[in-house]
Amino acid sequence: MAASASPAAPPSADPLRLDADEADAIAELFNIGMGEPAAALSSMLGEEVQLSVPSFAVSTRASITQEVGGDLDGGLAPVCAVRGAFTGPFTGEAMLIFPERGTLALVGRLVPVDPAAEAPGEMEQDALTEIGNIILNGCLASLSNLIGGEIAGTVPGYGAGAPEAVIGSATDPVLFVRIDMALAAGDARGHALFLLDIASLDAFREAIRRALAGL
Amino acid sequence: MTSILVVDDSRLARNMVSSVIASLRPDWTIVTAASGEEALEVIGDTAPAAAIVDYNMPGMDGLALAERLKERFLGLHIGLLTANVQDTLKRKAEALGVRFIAKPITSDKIREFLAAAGQ
Repeated sequence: MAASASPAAPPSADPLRLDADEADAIAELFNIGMGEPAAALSSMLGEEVQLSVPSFAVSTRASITQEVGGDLDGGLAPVCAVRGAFTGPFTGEAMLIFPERGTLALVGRLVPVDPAAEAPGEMEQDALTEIGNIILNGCLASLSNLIGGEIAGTVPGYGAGAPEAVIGSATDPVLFVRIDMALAAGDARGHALFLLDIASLDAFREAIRRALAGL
Repeated sequence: MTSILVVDDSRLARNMVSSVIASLRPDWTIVTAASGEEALEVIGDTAPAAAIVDYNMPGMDGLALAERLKERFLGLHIGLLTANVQDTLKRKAEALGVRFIAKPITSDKIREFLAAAGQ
């Protein structure tokens, strides 16, 4: 993984190479970014939202589908996702993704869910979209503040299907930040994923430098 | 010699906290660790003046570490430095007598923590 690349290498020599300090900084910025929106979601749900330490890697959509899909009900069951593109000092796609059953458990805290339902209906989809909006745009907003530049998020949209259909199967490299989320009760586990375009890596590096200088 | 323990899995966070402490208390020794397990090992039996620990770390989390440190050093002032600003966590920290410090770190937050710790 490029995150463990030698810190001695000049950062611009290989567009896919980030030194250990840069990788660490990215993970920490996302860790800080997720704090407020997770607290907002927690007060909405009246329950603790557990977050993992963010992981960061250079990956491809195909491997992310395998890695994340495998975690979500074995990779075969359909998943529900809220996705939105963002642009600014760096561009990419933010995604909140839960297995169908986890989605029903999650939104069941906010809206009455038919216990016989197997897949989220329109109301459940709306509720997940709102949760995704809070988490993804909240995190991007915190990041914007940290790096002192505007990151514009689109209104996230709902999508469902096999992990491959939702995440994609492209094999070009993307920077991948992953944060696992779970409700304290344990019945809803999902992921917040941020896929950053490699083309914007230089802008991203510059933004990180500014963030570090301002902290 | 006065020492302070700084524990965070992020090197960036450790460096930021360390540089703030170094500017506020230039004569202090800063002992850093990247995990709770490492912290317990490096600190040994020498009581630091205070400890600043991250919550969300691989392995032992910051609250579990705080509990272990309090067992080892009675009355140790501990700050839980975290981006996780949920009330549940704040309450758990309070219950342990640990001061909650929200990330990102600033000089003022560390100064207040040290003042509250009587340092």
